[in-house]
Amino acid sequence: MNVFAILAVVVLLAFIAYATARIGPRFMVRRLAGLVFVLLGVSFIIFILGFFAPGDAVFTQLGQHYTPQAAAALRHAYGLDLPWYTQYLNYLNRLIHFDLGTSFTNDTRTVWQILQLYVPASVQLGISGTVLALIVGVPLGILAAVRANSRVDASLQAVGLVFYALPSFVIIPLFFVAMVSLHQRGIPTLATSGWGTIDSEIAPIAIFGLGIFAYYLRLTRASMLEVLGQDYVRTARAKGVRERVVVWRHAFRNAVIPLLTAVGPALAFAVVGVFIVEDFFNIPGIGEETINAISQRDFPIVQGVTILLASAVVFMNLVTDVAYGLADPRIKTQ
Amino acid sequence: MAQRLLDVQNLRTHFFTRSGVVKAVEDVSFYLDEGETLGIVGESGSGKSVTSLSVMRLIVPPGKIVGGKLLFQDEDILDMDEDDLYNLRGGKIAMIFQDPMTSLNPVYTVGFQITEAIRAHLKLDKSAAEKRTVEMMDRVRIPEARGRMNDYPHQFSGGMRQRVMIAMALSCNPQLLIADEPTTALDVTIQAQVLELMKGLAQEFRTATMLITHDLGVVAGTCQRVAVMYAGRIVEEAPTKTIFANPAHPYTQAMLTAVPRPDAERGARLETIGGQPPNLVNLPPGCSFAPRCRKAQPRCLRERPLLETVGPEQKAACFYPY
Repeated sequence: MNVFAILAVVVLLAFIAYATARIGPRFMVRRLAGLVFVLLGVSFIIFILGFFAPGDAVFTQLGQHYTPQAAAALRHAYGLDLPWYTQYLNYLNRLIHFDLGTSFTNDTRTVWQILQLYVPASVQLGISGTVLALIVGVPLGILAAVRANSRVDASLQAVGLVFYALPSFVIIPLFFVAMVSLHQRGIPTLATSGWGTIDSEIAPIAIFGLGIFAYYLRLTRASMLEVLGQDYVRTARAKGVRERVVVWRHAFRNAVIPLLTAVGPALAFAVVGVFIVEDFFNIPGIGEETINAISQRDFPIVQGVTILLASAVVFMNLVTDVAYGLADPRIKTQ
Repeated sequence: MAQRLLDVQNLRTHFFTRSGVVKAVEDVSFYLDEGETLGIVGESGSGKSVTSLSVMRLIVPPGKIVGGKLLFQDEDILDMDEDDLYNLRGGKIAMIFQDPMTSLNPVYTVGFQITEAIRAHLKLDKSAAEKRTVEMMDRVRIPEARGRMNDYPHQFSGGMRQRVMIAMALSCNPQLLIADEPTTALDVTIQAQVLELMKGLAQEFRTATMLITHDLGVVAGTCQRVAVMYAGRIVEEAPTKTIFANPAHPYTQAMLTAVPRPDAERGARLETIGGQPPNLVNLPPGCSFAPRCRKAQPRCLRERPLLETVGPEQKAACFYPY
């Protein structure tokens, strides 16, 4: 366990403690029980899909060395010769002990090690990109709503839509071409490959973030337009507070509530959404690793990734619920 | 003779919608003296609320004030810049709205919302402003004001919320209080309490009141003068007593007969005004009320009557008054 992992666990426990205090132990227990059911369901579905999927890990691995004897031996070693329910129960048993198993294709590494190796880059990219999209999208959405149906509004929406509609597999090659041509003229450029240095991280984060900011722009605009038409906004104007205060304090604070619904799960899914960007920029992320694992029928990795993602979604939903309570005093979860 | 506080001259507010220009307020003139209470009555869509929002310059697109003068203490509100307007709203003219359930911001405590109004206009620091908030909440008779300051609007009943609105409106000693259907959304018993409270405090604070309502009963107990609006225009204006005793305009007469009476004979039918108010996009050339008027003559359908003096302190827009 490295420092980062310990820190993550501490933050997680602190949050659960805070959330329990906020929403009450009963609600928390219900939430955690819900998590168990989600994980059971997800693990079962992914297990069964793997079991029935055509092709198998043993065949892929042996390749030209395939003999029936070697295959049977390997199958036995992985426990793949057992009936499916025994395999599943074994898997669950390991899961309870936080053991996700060992990769089929890379025997020297456990699934945990592989996740630790590849997840951080994807999480950094996904979260930084989403945060960038929020930083750009939310203020522009507010501006679009305040100037609704003006030219400013129309242009913001049009620009946002263009970015949203352009797939990253079109933008990234164009970006590469631009970098190459700048480089040829002796102008400093950004790295087009790798991860871990600032100059290699800027472009993927910017491209991912700008690709989705229009979503938050539209969401914020719609939410703000609704709130700006409310009676209490008129009351705020009627008592003579400045328009800036009306927009931010009275309107935006209320418009945040529906935004939270979208942002929570989006943060969890961002890790998946960055796959194409990871692929083009040769980022050692979990997306590419998962695709490889699927094509090689390396199911322990696929299962590990899926379970991690499901936990992240459930966790973010919990965060969203707690955030609701903070944003809206009418919501009393206790 | 009291000083003239508000003098509205030929106010015209239109809404530019897809289906045409809605002339919500057309050529409306009235005045209010200091400390006076004026009732503006009319049915839904007659332009009462648009008139009051125009006075506050709170008309938002597609609405626009297209003409007239709004003289407040001899200064035209229509000529004011942003800073003047911020001082005016809440400071000199305060407003109470119809629905107390939606007029307060759900995510802030009522104390915060009143304090915010106070700090926008009176040069008070935070603790002094909060002290005044508690004082105002006491004045509107909210029990345990100090503790309830930190409650959110959803923790108050409708009547209590309207008291919060009144406290907020009067907190900066405005010269004019505009109450737009302040009791319509409340229970009948609460209505009377809130009206009494508003009336009493307005007198105490020497605040002139513009009371907008569709309820003639509310007007009778509260206002000194009444202006009756129909289809965006004032059709009659007179002291309250005169309006009730001797209404000049057929619309006013019809409205008065349409009030249910507790002493009426059992099973007697309630008088109603037949027909519908006109479409404000495409008004007929003559008197707007003519199609529904029992006394209408051919002339009423051709020419529009102007608001003219028909009796002592009484004005009506009708060719054939009384």
